[in-house]
Amino acid sequence: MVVILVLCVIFCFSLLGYKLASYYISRKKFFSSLQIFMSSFKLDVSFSQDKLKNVIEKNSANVSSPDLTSICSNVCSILDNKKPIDNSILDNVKILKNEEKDLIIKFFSSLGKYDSTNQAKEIDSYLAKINEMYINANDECKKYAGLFIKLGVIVGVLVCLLII
Amino acid sequence: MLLDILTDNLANIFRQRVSLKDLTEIRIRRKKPIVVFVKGQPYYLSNNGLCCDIDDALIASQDMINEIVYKASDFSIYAVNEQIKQGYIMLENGVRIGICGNVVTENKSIKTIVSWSSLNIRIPHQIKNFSLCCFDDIINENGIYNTLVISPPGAGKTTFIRDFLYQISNHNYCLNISVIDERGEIAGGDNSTLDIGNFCDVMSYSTKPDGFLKCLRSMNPNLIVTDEIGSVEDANCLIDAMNCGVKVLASMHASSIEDLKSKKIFQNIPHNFFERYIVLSKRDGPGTFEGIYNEKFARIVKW
Repeated sequence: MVVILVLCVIFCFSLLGYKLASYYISRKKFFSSLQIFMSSFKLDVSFSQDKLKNVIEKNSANVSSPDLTSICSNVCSILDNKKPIDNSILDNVKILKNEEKDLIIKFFSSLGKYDSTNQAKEIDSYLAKINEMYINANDECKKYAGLFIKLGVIVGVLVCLLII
Repeated sequence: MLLDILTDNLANIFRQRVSLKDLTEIRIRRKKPIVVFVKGQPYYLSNNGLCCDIDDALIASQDMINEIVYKASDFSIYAVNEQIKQGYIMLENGVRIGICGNVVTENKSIKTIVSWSSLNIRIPHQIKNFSLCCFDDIINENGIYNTLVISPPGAGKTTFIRDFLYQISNHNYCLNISVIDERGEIAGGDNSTLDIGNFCDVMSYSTKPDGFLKCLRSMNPNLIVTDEIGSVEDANCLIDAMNCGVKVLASMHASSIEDLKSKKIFQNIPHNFFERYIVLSKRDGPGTFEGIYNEKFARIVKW
């Protein structure tokens, strides 16, 4: 009975630690996916010159971050309604800081507003900023994600010791 | 489709207060009153619909122009930049948006147009039986005469051609007709509701030299139809068609036969190539027939 209780407590605290860590893991995954999305988007704009909605739909199918998939889906809905891009594309996205949100909105708002050469340049300039954000997110992930998981396990063990 | 590309305010005004059936043109100029042409007559556009008082007219803003262009391009300027370089964007159903602004050039070639300052939204109309009064004068026992339709811009050349194609089908002349529709205005592109009959093979958004070559090689046409001959290359296409024994129906900007004769492009076309000239004008509104002329420029029909 005690063994089961100990295992349950350790599991619960580890889960809590993982939940806290997943914020950083999701952020890293988001920026990594966004980099890939932007690069392939740039290629499509330069060569296939397909309509924006089709390009976003095509590229979002290969995205591993659920948050980016959600943003892409929101952007496509807005384009379907022929409305300008606004804050609503970030509905349900909770992993971004305010300045990151601003940049994402600006990036998606800038899509489709230039000829292919200038659009590619515009994407490059956003890609440079996203690269910096990815580096920060990656550093934070390395620093905190492991820490929270370890802390979860350790706190779980400590609580078990106290209970015993 | 037209209302989809306008700003919400403009779309509401057109939806509620303007008859789209008679609308032919919308002119939107930065910081200037919006002008609407209904049945060829100009009116200002106000919040209450059409008006004649400039003080009531809606003034176009840069944001309004930008929004219309973005919407017209499906928010994909890069995808329609080739059209923008030519000064227009084509929508479905043959609606054409003419664009003016700052031309960006590199190595003497146009890269794009930016800072759009004026838009001219032209709405095509299908006027059934519009060409009927000329039909028997263009058709002969061997098919049709090589025919050139001339008029100033906006006087009904494309409408004439579209209806003539419909009439060929309606009169059951089973000709193989290749339509080189460079700007998608004749047939209206994909999902068009414009009716050009049952015998047309449409090559949309192709340049005339490419379109003529492809159709001559692969479609075995009896008749090639195209809009607005505007360059020596275009004129050479007609000669290629003639050398292949294919008849041509084309149009060209000119206000009269004399004006036509003075054009350098026309002078490049062999003498007597065209056997019929249809002259249209806006004298009594767009689509006024001025006359039909034969290959010797003698008027054979006068209205």
